Amino acid sequence: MSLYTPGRRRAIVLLLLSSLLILTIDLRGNAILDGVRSGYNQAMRPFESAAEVVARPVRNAWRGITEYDDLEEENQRYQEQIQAMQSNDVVARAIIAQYYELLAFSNLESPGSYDRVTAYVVGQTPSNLDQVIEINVGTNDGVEEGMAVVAPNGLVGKITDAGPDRSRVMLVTDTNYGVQVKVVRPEPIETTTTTTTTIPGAAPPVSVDDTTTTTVVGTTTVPAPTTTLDPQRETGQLEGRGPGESPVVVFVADTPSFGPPAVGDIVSTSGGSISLAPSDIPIGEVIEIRPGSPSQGLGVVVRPYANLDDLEFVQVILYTPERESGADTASTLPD
Amino acid sequence: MFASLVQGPLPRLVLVGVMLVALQQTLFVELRPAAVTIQVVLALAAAAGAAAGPQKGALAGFVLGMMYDLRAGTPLGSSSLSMGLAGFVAGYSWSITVDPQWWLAMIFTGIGAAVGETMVPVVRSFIGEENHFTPRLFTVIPIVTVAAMILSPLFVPLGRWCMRVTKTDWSKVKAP
Repeated sequence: MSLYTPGRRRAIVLLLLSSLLILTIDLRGNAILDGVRSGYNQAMRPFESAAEVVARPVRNAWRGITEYDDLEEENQRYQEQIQAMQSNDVVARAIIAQYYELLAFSNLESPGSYDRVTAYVVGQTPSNLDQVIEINVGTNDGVEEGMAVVAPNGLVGKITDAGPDRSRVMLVTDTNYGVQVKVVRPEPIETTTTTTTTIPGAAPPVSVDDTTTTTVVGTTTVPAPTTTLDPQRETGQLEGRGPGESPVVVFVADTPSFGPPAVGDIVSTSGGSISLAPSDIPIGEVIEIRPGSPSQGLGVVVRPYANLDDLEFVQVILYTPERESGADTASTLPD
Repeated sequence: MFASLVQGPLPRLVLVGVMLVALQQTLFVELRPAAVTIQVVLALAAAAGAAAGPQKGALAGFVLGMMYDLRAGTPLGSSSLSMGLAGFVAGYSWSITVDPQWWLAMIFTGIGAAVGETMVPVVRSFIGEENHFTPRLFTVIPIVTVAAMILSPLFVPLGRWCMRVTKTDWSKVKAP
């Protein structure tokens, strides 16, 4: 039996060309294809609900088999972390409150200035390349394309497709994700200048601790006012690197004022008129610095604070970046 | 034309495809060995190719890929290309025999699935997406391949049914 007759070859070429044509049309944005996608998603709902019923016991059994030991370890680790964090939490809350008060006093925006919608994660992409989740809020709740999505401990991603009651969220680890960020030193640098006046005939000066004011007979040590420098920052572009890979901040320069970014520095959104997220949303912590090309600058590898593999509840910050406000917002999720 | 559409493989393929896409979206995004999602829709496309030959395999891959793209939100047509190729390559089993044994169909289903999964980052790169070629592919492709091979004893008969291909009953074939 001949595998390749001219008719068969034509059919295969036709399928190939059809795929390419549809791909091209879809990439350029097409209302008809968006409508088809939306209708198909709507039609799939009952089948997915039925599949969910079948899947639940299998999933639970699978999790029981594969994750029990991990869960025990994780539980123990979290117990220890909770104890350590409880004390920090009180201090942090007070500092954040003061910070927001200061921002409000100065008429500056903060992440707390925007309303939020809490959402439940209802699905994720079946692809092994994409990092996309689906949440149960949409345009009916005020959600729009481009809005930032956060977990309690940091940035999760952005809305890429908003339907009336469902939205797709591209995670910060997706290779198509990018956001303007700043790299900040977590600890403010305190400097104390010490001036020593020696009175003739008195005892020799005594060395004292940098930050302690001590008066010794015959020697007066006058500390100058302690200067707290603002944590210096370096801005760059955070880009996802795909599943299992940490995102990387590129275009970070090794500037004399900031010095090279260091492991442990904090990465947060930089905000601004073209940014996809309001400023000062924490994203993660620097875990590695990779030397880069002169045009790209350093590669700063970031471990996100949010546990992107196990998201259950997230919040959408109802902030529309200017870049997205004029974009085509035709949704492909069900009406 | 309508009659040929109804009597052709499309209705069965769409019916099975809808159920598999639903399972892919719910069950198989959770059962992830080594954090890799098993691609059941791709496995069916490859199995249909192994069961019905390259042309019907490519058609099955095209239709299933389209259904997958519509639901997953991936660029429409990208999975049609990769799954179409998977079905086409798996159909090479017909170059050896028109009625492949189960183990031969299993091997060709695995090969088709491997080619299809490899094509995904290639197609995405062609449409301008970056950074898809990572060492993780060396984990993803073997797991997707092995899963497709394990599923093939179930999916090859299913693919044969979808594509309306009847298995030859050799006992009824008379020697010339």
